[in-house]
Amino acid sequence: MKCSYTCRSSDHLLARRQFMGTLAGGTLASGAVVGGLSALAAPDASKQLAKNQKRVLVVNMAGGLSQLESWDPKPATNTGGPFRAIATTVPGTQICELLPKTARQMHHLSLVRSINTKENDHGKGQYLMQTGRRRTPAGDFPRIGAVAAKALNDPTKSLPGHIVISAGGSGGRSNDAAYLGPEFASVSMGNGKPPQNTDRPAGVSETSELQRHAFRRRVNDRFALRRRTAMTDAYTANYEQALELMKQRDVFDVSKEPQADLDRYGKHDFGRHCLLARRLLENDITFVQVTHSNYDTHNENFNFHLEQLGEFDSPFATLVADLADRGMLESTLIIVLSEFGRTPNINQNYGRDHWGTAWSICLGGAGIQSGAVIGKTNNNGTKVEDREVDHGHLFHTYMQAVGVDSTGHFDIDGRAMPIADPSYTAIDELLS
Amino acid sequence: MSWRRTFRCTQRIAVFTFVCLLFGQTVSAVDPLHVRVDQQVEQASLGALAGNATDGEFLRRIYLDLVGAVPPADVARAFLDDKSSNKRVAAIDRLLQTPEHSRHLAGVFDVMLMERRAEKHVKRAEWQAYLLKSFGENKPWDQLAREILGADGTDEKVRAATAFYLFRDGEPNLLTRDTGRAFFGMDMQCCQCHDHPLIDDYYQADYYGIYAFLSRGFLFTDKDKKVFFAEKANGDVTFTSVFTEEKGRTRPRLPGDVPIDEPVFAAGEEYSVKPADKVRPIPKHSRRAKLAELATSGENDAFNRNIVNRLWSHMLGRGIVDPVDLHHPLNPAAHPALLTMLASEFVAMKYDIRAFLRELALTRTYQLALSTPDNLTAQAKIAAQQLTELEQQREAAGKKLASAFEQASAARKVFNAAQAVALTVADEHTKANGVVSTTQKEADEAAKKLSDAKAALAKNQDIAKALTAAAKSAKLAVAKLPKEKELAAATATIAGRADKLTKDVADAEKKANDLKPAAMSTATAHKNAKKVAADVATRLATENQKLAATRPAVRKTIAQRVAEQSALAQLDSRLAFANELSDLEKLQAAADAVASTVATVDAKLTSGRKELEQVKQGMVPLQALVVDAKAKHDKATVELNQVMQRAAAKQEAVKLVAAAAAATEVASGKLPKDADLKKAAESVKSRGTALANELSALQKQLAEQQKMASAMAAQLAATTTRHDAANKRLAELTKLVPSYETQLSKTKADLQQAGNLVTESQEGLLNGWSERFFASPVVPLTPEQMAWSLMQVTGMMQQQRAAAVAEVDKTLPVDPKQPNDPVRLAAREVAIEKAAHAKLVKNVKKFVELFGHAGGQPQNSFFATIDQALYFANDGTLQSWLNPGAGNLTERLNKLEDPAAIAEELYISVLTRRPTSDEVNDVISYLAERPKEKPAAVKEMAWGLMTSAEFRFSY
Repeated sequence: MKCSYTCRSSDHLLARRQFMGTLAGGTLASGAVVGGLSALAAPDASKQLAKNQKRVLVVNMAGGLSQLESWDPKPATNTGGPFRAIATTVPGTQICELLPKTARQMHHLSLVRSINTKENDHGKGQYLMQTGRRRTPAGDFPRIGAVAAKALNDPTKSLPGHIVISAGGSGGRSNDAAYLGPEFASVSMGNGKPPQNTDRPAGVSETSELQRHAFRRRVNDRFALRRRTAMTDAYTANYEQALELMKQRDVFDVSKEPQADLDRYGKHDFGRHCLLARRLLENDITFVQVTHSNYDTHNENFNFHLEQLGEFDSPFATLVADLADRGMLESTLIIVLSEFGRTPNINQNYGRDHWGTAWSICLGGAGIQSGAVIGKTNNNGTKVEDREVDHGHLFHTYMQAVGVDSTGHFDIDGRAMPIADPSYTAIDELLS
Repeated sequence: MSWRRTFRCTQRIAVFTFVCLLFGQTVSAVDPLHVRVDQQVEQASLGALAGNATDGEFLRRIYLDLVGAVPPADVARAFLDDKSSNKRVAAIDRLLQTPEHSRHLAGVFDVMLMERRAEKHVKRAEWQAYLLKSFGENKPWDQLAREILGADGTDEKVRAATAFYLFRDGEPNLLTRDTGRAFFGMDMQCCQCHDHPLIDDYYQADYYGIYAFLSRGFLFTDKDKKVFFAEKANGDVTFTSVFTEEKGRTRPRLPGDVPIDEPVFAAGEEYSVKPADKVRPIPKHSRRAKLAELATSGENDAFNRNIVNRLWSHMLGRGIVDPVDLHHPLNPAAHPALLTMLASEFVAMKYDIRAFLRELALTRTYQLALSTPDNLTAQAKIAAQQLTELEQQREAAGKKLASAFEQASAARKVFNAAQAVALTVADEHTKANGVVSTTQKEADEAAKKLSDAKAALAKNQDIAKALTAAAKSAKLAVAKLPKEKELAAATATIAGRADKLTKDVADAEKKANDLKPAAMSTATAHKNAKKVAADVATRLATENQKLAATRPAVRKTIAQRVAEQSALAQLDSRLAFANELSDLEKLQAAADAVASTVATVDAKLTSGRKELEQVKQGMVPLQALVVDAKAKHDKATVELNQVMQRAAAKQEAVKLVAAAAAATEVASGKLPKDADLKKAAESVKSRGTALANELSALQKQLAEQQKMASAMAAQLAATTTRHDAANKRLAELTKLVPSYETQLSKTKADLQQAGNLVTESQEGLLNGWSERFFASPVVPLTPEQMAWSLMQVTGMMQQQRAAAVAEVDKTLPVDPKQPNDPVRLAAREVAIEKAAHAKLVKNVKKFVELFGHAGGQPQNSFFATIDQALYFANDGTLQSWLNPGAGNLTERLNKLEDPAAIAEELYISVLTRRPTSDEVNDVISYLAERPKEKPAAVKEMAWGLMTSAEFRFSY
């Protein structure tokens, strides 16, 4: 077999072509040679793109959501706990009564109730659910957001393609893209704060800002006459994209949303983060992750789930409904995942422990059947009875749902890296 | 192995012969390496090389490569002004001796070997100090690699070298991958589970060949919680392909080589320190030590090629094989013979890194400019001429490769057969050793039982003897003293005991006798087993010898096959480049054709427009002429009609008068005497005559008038025709001109496209030029180079160095008696560098975060993320470095009055060159626009240069 050496066609070159394509359009107007890129805003093109652009939203139920108190209730069994199951908008599908508003959105969503990841460790569980692979000592794998950003995001866009809204954090770039490279790593928005360094410093006046960039462009234009490569273009374009991003800084500011929406989503962090997620997705951010913490309920499982899901239910259901109303659901994949589920067995502290053997996730939107239920567990939820799947199948499914051929590979500097674990396939019956 | 040397020599001679034939120059092996490097590169070039780098480009490049930061402004200025001819050599030699150079190389190798991995079990600082010390001593690469690959952590002096294994937690798969990449230039990760799907040359067996060297290693923690990389004496490597389910098995094996010979130990003899609880075992045969020894022996091509390629890549911006960890025949070297020569020369230089870097720095290839030759099209013509010859060479190379493949596979078959036998015997040997240990255990047990029984017997026999003797004497005593009852009773007791014991002894003797056969038989069995094992060991040794005898042929044919394969691949690459280059000619011709079409269309359009204009202008007088002609014609017609009417009236009058005259004359003839009548008749007649005369005058006039009218009609017709013709032409041109315009814009678009193709092809060729080292490539600075260079140009470095000098003046002052003592001065330099480094190194972290890849990932590919630009634009750090003070850049600039001088200082400081006149004018006008804000303007311009592509890259 031929080794596919792609020095000439690698992604940055491609990106550069696209980028230069838009640049050429703008050049006529602005008269600049390189770098004078008001060109980045090519409205028609970006509208076209937005139409085809697929997006992914992950809601990470950190700590391990109990499937029995959410997607796969087993009332009136020895493992079921005190809560009832309620009807949803999908006939025949019931979920736990702790999610009444989500139940009314179930016709937009689907459930996978037959997950067996055989993993009961928080870190390893998160890793395999986020990457679709088991952690190996020999190499790291990219997170789903990095894969989505690489496969779906338009590289000429100024806004980041991969955003993780977390409880705290630097507002900087994370190391979650592995071999895909830092371009695809997440930008964290610690408690919804905008990314780092997006504000012009007080010491630099507006005149200074304009003039220093103009000077920089002239220096670059002169160097470009001596030598111009994909790398030099990418570097100079980067500053223009940064300026564009600063102009669009409001995208990150959830307080710009109407008061009515702020009220609907709720004043707590998770509500604000869900509304921020909506704002980001509306602005065509390819991947957004919101975290709701903490479901690690070794003690008082039922009280904690009552409280936690009470907070989760309303903003999440509102977000699903809003995305549906805005016609964004067919292009946005929603995944509600955890690192694992919780034991059917109730321990002496009224808690449930780590459980990777038979648990569930909820997903919907782009490319996913609505109202489907995949697989099932036995009567008291102690094992998977039908259509057992794990992180590998799920990862293929996510990617196929947003139109990525998950059996293909990325070309990373001449190395072919499979997009998803080649020994798995997608859950075809879940795809629409 | 002697064949190998012979092979190398042959190859070298072949190369030299080729060069001699090609250039008709005398090339001798005694020429310095850098001269021979340039010859190789020139020989491979399809056209001219780029020109020489300017002094500024050279200085910036050599500083970045040897000390990791751009030069300080004063050094740059002095160098640019230096007129001496050997200043480049002097700069290279000076920099190679600096402590900064050792520090930089230590950093480069740290990143190369560790890829910014988090520390584990050994402190990163210790590892870095180890590297710094090694490069400070210019430790040869073979020694450094031997220390790292052989490290187990027990030798305190080189304990930090274990970091390569320990940072990776001793995980054998990770170690296999990274040892393959870092030391042999081969990324075989995919081969862990199957043969590499994309790279023919990487086999699962290659992967497990390295794996087998390392798989017996494990982390051992001693009672002080110190971690070592220990090794077991057992653990063989088998593997199964996930795709084909094929099973494989291998002994340790270096890439491109055959499995190694291993000593055969008797069972239980494998360790010099046996494994036990809390004891670090030491095997007699350490596979890891063998890896270190064999890799660095000078004989392993993969090891040698890897390091010279990496050092080349460090200096020249990309590897002769690139990526540097994908050496295989389908990713051919840009110059295979050059790589081969460098590898053998580096071995001959005893792996002296500094000397090797010096040779590279001295090459013209290193000192080329970044632009390509001016006339690419001329180069394209030359390339086109070479195509046929290259294709012929390629065909020949293909045939040679096919035969090399056959030979290699034949030799491989012989080896495989011998290996299969050897492995079977090795299995027998393992089994026989197993039998030896079981029989030994059995024999030992039987012997122990027997000896226990014998010991018990011996002990009881003595007592029984003593008791029997005592009983005998007692009985004698009783016989002599029959009244002593007590004595008699005692004697009876003793006798009883003696009898019992004698009986016990007899039993024990019997038992011992019973045990003897078992002891003997197990001993015999053990002896036999040992003999069998010894026999098998002898056979194994014989088979191993036979196997070893098949090795040279395999090695030789593999090397031959690889050489032919890369020669072919290189020809392919040259052919592709030549094609690309000759395509440029075609593209240029196409573009020229389109350009000439454009010219034609343009000419047509111009003349069409001109004519249209003329016709348009001509139409006005023409229309006037028509109007005039028509008026004249009308007038003539009118006049003609008038004359005609008058003539007709006159004719009527003439006719009437003539009739009247005739009638009068008739009357007068009848009345001849009537004088009045006669007079009247005459009068009428004369009137008639007069009228007739008038009529004839009129008729004459009419004829003229008619002539005039028809002339006017003709004139009208003529002008009308002219007018109509012009009008038609106008209509035509009104259509034609826009069509020419359309045609012109279309052909102009075609021209644009053809031009784009030419430009694109030229850009591709520029890349091709630098990929083959015919021009200097553009290479991104590493995060560390970015950080140190920014500290250099802003003046941070100079400030902290001054502070460091002040410190060292206290701790290690210059000896006033011997102010030039070189040892002391060198020690001071080291101390100053260390102190300055300590003050500044904290600033590097942020740049590594921004510009470096994640830990454990390959670090060499370029990326641009917005956070980098945002940091430069909006973070306070760089802004604060640009605040004037302590003689730093902005303070120096603020002190200068002349804007041209400011431009010069700015460009020399930041970009290591003087500004062009355009650039000077840019600075002058920038300052002129902000007369009252000079400090801000200066800061902005410095920022603008530091954020430019020219600063971000090395070129």
